[in-house]
Amino acid sequence: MTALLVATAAAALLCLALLATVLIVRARIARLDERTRGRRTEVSSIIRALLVEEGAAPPPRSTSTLHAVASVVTRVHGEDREALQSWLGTNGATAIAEQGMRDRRAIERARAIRLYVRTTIEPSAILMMGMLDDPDPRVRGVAALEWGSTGRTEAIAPVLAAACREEHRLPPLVASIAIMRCRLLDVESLHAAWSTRDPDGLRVALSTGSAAGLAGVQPYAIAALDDDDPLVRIAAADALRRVGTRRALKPLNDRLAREANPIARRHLDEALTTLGGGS
Amino acid sequence: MTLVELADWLSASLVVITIAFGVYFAVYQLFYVTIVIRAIGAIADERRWASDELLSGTFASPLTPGVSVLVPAHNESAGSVACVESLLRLQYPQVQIIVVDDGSTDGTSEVLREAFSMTPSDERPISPVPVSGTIESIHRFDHHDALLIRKASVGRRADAVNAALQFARHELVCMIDGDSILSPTALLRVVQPFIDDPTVVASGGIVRPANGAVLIEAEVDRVEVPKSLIERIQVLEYLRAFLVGRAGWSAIKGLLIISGAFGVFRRDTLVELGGLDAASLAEDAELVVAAHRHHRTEREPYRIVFVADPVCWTEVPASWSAVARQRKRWSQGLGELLRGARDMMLRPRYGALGMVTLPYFWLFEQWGAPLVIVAMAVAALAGALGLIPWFAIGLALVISYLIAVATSLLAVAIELGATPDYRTGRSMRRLILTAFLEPILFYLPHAIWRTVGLVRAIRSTPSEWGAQQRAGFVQRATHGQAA
Repeated sequence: MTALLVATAAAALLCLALLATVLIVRARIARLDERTRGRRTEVSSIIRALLVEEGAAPPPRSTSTLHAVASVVTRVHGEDREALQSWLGTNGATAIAEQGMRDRRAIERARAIRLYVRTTIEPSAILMMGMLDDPDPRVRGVAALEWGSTGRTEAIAPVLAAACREEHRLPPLVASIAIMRCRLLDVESLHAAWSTRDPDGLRVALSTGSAAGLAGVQPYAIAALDDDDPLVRIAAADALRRVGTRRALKPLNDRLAREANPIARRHLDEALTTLGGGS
Repeated sequence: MTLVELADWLSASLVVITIAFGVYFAVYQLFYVTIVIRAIGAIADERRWASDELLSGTFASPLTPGVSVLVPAHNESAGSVACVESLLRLQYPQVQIIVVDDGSTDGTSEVLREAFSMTPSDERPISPVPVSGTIESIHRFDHHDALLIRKASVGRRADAVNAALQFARHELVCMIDGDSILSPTALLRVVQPFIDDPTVVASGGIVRPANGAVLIEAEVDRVEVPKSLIERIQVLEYLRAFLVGRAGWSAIKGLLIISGAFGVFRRDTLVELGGLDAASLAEDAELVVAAHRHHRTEREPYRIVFVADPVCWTEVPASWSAVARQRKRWSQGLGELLRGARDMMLRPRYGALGMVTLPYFWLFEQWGAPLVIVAMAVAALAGALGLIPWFAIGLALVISYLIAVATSLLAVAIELGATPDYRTGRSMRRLILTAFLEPILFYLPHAIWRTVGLVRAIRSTPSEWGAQQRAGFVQRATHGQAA
C-alpha cells in the first residue's frame, strides 16, 4: 500500500511537472520571440546605418547579432556586401568564426562556417577543405553550401571530390546545389567524378555539368550510359537530353535496346525524342 | 482439492494476475518513455539543422527526382477540390497528380471535373500492377500534369492506389488521402532523404487533423484545436502518434508504419512488391513490412525514414460513431498485419523491426486493449472478493490515469517546442483540458472498439472502405470573404 501511495504521489508530481513544463516552454517561446524582435530591430538599425546612411554602425550587443547581420550578406552584392563584411570584420566576426570552427559541438562549427564565409571576401581554400572533411555530415553540408554560395569556381573541384571519396562523403544533393551556385565553366572542374567513376559523383557531375550547358559533358555521359547503377544511367540520359548532339543517338538507342529498368528506359526515350531520334 | 483450497488458489491467482497487469503496464510505460526520449532527440536535431537554403537548393537541383502523387478518393466530394488545389500549389519542380475516384456515389468525379478543365484520355498504364476494379474512364487535366481516373470500387483503398500506381511515371510516388492538404514545401522536405541516400526506399511525414483549419487558396492559413471533444482527442492522439511515436520508432530504425495519408516511396520498389496489398486493411503498414522483408531477405541495404517536419493536413472523423468505425478498422488491420508478419517477430535478421517494433505492437498495441478490459474486470472482481482493498485498486487507477495524462502533456510540450501550429492560448488550454479528459471519456470505449477490431481480425471478417461524413475545409478568399 505504501508503494502504491508513493507511486501515486510520484505520478501526480510527474503530471504537475509536465504541466509546468508546458507553461515554461510557452513562456520561453514568448521570450524568444521577444528577443528575436529586439534583435531584428538592432540588425535593422545596423543595416540602415551601413547601407542607407552609409555611416558608422554601432557595435553588436551579442554574437547573435553578428550571425544575423552575416545572414544578410548573402542577399546583397557589391559595395553593400563589402560594407557589411567590413563591419563584421571590424567587430571580430572572423576571429569568432575561426574559433567556432574548432568547437566540439557540430552545430557551433556549422554556425561558425556560415559566419566565416559571409564575413571574409575570399574564404581560405585550406580552411574550407578542412571543413569539407568534418566528421559530421551536416557540417560538411553547410561548408559545401556556404562555399558554393560565394560563386567561386575553385570551390567546385573540392566539393565534387568530397562527394566522390570513400570516407566523410558529401551527400550528392548538397554537392549538386553547391556546384550549381558556382560558375561552372569547363568539364575539367568535374575531373574528380570522371576519374573516380564514383556513382554519386557521376550523378552530380553529369547533372550539374549538363544543367550548366557544358557540351563537353557528352562523352562522359555516353560512357556513363553503361554504368551498373541505374541512377547514373538516368543522370546520363538526362545530361544527353540537355547537351547531347546527334552523335549521342546511337549510344542512346543501343542502351535503350538493353535497358531493363523502366524509369531509365523512359529517360532514355525522352532524351532520344529531344534529340530528334525518338520513336 | 477442497473448496477452501480452491478459494485460496483463486485468491492467490487473482492477486498474481493483478500484479502481472501492473508489471505489464509498467513495462509498456518504460517502452514508451524510451521511444519519447529518442523522439525528442530526433526532433530537436531536425529543428536545429533545418535549412531553408537547402530547401530552395533542392528545388533548383537537377538531381531532384520527379514525384507522382497518388490520391485515392472514395466519396470525397467535400474535400477533393481543396486537396487537388493544394497539390497544384506544391513547391516542387516535377509533380504528376493522379486522382482515382474509387466508385464514389457522392459525385467526387463530377465535382473535380467542374472545378478543373479536363478532357477524356486514352492513357495507357506504365507499370504492371494488379488491379481488381475495372477502370471506367480516364480524364487528363488540360492545364496541369494530372489525371482523374474513375474506377469501379472493390471496397479497398489499396486497389485504388494500385490503379494510380499503374500510371505513375516518376521515380518517386507519394500517397495521400483524397481529403488531405499538403503544405507547400512538404514534398521538398520529405523527398530530401531519397536524394541524399539511394538506399532510402520510403519516407513519411507528419499528418495532422485539419478539422477547423482555415484555408486561403488551398493553403492552411490558420489552425486551431477544434471545439468538439472527439476532434480534440484525435488532435492529441495524432501528436502522440506522429510527432512523438513515429519520430521515436524511426530513430531506432524500427518504423512500422508510414501513413497512407502521407508517404513517399520509390516507385520501382512499389512495383517490385506488386503494389499495395489489396487484401489488407492496414495496407500502408503492410507495405512498409513488405519493404523491410524484401530488403532484409535480399540482404540489400535500405532505409525507411520519418521526417518530423513536412505536414499533411487531413480531416478526421467528427462523430463518436465514425471514430468507432475507424478504430475498429484500424485495429482489425493491425491484427491482420501482425498475423502476416509473425514469422519476422523476434528474428534478429529483421533488425529492430523484428526484435523491438513487432513484439511491442503485438504485446501492447494489439493486445493492450483487451488486456485493459480484462485487467479492470479482474481488479473489480478482486475488490469485490475483498482480496485487494478498494483503496489500492483506486490508487492503481489514479496512477494509470495520471500516467496517461502525463504522456499527453509530454506530447503537448514537445509539440509546443517543435512547431508553431497550436501555440495560441485557446489551443493550449483546449489541449491541456483534453489531456485530462481523454483517459476518463475515451480510453474505455477506445479499448472496446480496438477489441472488436481484434476479434474481427482473428475471425478474418471482411471489411471495406470506411464511410466517413466529410465537412470539407473552411475556405477563405484572399479578400477576406468566406466561401
